[in-house]
Amino acid sequence: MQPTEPLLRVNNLVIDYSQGKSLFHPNRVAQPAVAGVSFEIAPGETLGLVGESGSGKSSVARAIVGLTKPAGGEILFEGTDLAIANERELRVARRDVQMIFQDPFASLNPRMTVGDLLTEPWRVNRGSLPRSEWASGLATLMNQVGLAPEHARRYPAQFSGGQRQRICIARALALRPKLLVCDEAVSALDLSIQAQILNLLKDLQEELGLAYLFISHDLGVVRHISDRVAVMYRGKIVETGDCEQVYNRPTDEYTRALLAAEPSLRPWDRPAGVASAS
Amino acid sequence: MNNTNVVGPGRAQHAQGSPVLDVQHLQVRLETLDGPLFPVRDMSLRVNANETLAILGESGSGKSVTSLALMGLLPRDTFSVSAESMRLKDEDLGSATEKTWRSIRGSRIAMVFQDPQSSLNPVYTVGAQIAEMFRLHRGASRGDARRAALEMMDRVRIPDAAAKYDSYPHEFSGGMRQRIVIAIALALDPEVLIADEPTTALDVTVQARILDLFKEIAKDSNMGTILITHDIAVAATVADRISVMYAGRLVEEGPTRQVLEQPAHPYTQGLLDAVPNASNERTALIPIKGSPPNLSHIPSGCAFHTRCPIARDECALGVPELLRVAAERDSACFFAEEVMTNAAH
Repeated sequence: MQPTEPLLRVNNLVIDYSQGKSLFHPNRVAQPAVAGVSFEIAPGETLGLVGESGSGKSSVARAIVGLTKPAGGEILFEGTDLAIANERELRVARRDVQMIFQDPFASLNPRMTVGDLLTEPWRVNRGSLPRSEWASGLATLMNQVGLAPEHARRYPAQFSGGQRQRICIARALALRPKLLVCDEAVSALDLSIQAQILNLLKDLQEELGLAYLFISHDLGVVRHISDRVAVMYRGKIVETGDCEQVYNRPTDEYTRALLAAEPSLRPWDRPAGVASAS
Repeated sequence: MNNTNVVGPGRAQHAQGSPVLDVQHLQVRLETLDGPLFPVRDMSLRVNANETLAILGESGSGKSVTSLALMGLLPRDTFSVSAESMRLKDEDLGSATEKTWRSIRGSRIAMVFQDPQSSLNPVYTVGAQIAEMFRLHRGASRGDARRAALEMMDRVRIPDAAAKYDSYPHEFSGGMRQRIVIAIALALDPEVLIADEPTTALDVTVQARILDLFKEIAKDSNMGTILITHDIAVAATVADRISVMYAGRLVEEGPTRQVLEQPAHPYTQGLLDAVPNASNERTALIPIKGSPPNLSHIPSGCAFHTRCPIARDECALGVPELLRVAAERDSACFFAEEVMTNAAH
């Protein structure tokens, strides 16, 4: 299942937001948001990262795309350590690592048309795609995510939440990345739309060989999309493994409590007493 | 209406017993510059004492507007609320004045909102905010109010209530804050509790404990609970009955297990096919095509027909009435029988 060379290898990552001593709590020793996290993602693979709020899962995501500077550890993308890479190396790596966020309303500039939004990555990354190919590239992108190319002149406000998330995905795909970091990418969507986007992400993975780091608090969504899953709790990964194995035979106590707390669609099937395992 | 595929004997009769809240054919109209919109077009519900009804729907389905209408909280200058009947036991809510509403809200119908942070006043202690209910509504003395508030804190399982009484909301976790909000709601022993997405903002382990609390409260109090949620699993966990709303209308109603095991409306079936669940083996998700309709462009006939996998020509023409399709089961689909047969395999 696992090829020898991972696409991304995170080694002992530490992220610490505390800025020295607090004025009000001079003696408090702050715990780092991420306290030594390690994992690997193979090309074309989906790693699910689950955890509750404050577990540090979003900090991990932000560090991988370069939005947060780690205090320690390595983020090796195809051998380059993004944690200490210089600007030029980072620019190259960032084409290969893209991110989609939770809120498709906040992630799109409302004053740009969809066409401008989707061609911007090519404009910014000079040489990534010759201008003569933008029109056909744009149509391909929009088709790929299930948007009608004739809507390229519309503004984000003219689209529904689900369609806006499709625009975000298309924009992330513009530079043909190898890894897509999805931070709660379907959490804000209605159930009927969420399934559409999850299926789209799976289809794109098959078509383009993308790898995903899929971050979510929703255990059901993560189980659905991931090959492997890592469970975070208080800045650490407490359990990691094959998706079916972690969900069916969790070994860590916190993972067990988390799974037991997830409300069931068929609570009447659940043996009595399981829910109170926490 | 006069459709040949109509199943069942006629107009739906809701659950028997003595409802504490009984609303028939609620409609909410919103005036805008572009003409009127109808966030709620036709919603009926009955909640009995000691019973939890979940109203399930996606954003824009009208579930939250329904709950605000039931609390008389929609501003009268922009919204107009009408219903064939709207009764809280023997009180006619349809004709209630703002003064009557003020005496009902908080004491006879109480509400818990999604965000406990904004439901609490940050500059008063949590104890004082519970005690205030007894001081204002019951004219209790300081000491009596404090004792009653401590009792409420025990009831919502706040450990070591006496020590926490003088804490401020910011000193509490999200789950503990929601317990305080629930204590305030329950303080005056309301006949109806309306909880609008009460656990949506909480982590899953905290949510499980709050849902346990709701079940416990429902068991040992005599009130009817209405739980508004978008989460099928949350509804499955606590509700006795489920009402499903789509585009401002009630499309299906029935006992929780029956509705989820054998839905009688294609929209309910669609939701169930689209939900990824942690306790299931991974199966392909079947999304509902398209998106929920915009209030200003609601499709003709059955509003779901543009997204429905079994829609036929008549679905675009006539609005299917909510009809009794089986014992305790109502559906607003011309082909409810077919949906139920397919669901049963």
